[in-house]
Amino acid sequence: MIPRAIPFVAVTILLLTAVPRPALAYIDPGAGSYMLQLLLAGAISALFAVKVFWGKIKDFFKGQPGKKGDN
Amino acid sequence: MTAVSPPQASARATSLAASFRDPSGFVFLKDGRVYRWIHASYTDNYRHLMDSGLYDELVKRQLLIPHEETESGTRDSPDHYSTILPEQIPFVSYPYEWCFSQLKAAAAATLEIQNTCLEYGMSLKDAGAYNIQFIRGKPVLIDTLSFDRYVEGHPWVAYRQFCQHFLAPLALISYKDVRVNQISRSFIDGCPLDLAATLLPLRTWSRLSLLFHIHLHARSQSYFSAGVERHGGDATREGASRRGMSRRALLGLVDQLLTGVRKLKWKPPGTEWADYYGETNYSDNAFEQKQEIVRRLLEGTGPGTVWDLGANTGLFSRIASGLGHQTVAFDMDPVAVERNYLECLRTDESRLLPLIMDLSNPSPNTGWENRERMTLAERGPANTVMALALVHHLAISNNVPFNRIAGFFSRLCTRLIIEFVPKSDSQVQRLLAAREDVFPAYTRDDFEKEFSRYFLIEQTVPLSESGRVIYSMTVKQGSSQPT
Repeated sequence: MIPRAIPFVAVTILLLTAVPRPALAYIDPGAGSYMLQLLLAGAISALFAVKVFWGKIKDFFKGQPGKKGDN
Repeated sequence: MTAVSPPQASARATSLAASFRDPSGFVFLKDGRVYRWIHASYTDNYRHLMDSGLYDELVKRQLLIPHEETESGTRDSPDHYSTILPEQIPFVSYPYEWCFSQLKAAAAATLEIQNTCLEYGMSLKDAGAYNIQFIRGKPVLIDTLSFDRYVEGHPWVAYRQFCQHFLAPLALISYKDVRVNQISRSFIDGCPLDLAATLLPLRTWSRLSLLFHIHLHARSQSYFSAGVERHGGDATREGASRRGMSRRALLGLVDQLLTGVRKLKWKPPGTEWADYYGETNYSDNAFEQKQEIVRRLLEGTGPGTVWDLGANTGLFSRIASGLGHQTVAFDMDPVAVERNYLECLRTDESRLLPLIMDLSNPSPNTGWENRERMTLAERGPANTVMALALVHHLAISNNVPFNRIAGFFSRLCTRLIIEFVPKSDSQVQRLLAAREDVFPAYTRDDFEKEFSRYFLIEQTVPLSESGRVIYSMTVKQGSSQPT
């Protein structure tokens, strides 16, 4: 999941940062917010998986049961 | 969508001016109580909220306002599903009146609610700061109709609103200046992200939460708004839409936002007025005497709200809240309000709400028809207003004549506890040190004469040693028009 997500996010970041645009106050910015979530979904999911996994490792060594959130 | 409980009771039902955007229902006022009318189209979502256990869970954690279903105030309409009577809010406040930690607490509460929603198969459709109110010291969601059934694959519809209402102003305060929070007074739907991205320093690109949710977010808004076709945007849009957003990704998004919000810090620096109590010019005895006088005067008031104007860090406000009064402590200094709020958290204070308010330019009507957000006066009148060590700042620093101060205060309360600080006082001399004394009318006689136009002076208590005087007054009937 991570190797697939990284190039995709990198391209997205490049795409978004390379095209600065003037603010257009009369256009609904909702589409961009919607699309950004879809574009970053893979990366965010992967990062979250790593975080949850890392949390479980820490909990294991602390002798605690797994925390909520891995679902 | 804001539930308010102004004291002016009305015998008939009246829709509130701020409640018109949500097709799921609206808020109305009847007999002085705020109700929420639920549209039939919202039935499925409302039932899921109530039957899934989500409502009970959120109310138990004091994240959602409790309500009871009622037939009172319902309107005869085929579109009507139900009417609910939410717990009434003692005082409605707005994000531009909150200090940094209040805004941060409201942001965290919103994300915790969204996290809990996902556990129960729902998602917040609104994440605006105006849907959060401080009740018993805790940030609570007051819009019971903010919940929609979660659909697998769909992104968070309130993501933009959350970033604009919470993340952007918090980041701007944290990285630039606490006063930037006043941006939300101008932009009713939160700080535009392209503006936030422009103002934030370059180093914020290295913070993942700010890189994703402010900088790239602003670019994405701009990119997908116009001229997308020229850059192959349609293909990008279709590809991303096909993939959708998994539940794990949505949980990750909320977790990333929550981590980002928690990492944002703002440390209040020392300021002139925040150190006021340490720098007062009167002795410990006079200070204790002043506290005792205020306590005695407050004990003589009936139950009701107390507004402490120019409250600083809330030392005198706590006398009022300690006596059981719902107290709002206003100060123009965000540092003092921050310290006051942190003290409220430390002592688990439930009857005291610190807020930022510049009395020389108090919160105005804003929004559609200038009626969505209320002025300070519209949220009153308070039972009692306290104005201690304040009048010289208004009269001398802001050139407001006594008559205008008295007129304004008479519209805010029914009872006034006010301190007159004479010109001989070192605090007044300090204000006059760098300017010409153009205030020949700043005398105790003139003060009493002008306030007597609006108020009946009931008690006059001199503060020994300091030369100051504390008055207890009640508003004269029909005196609210300036003379």
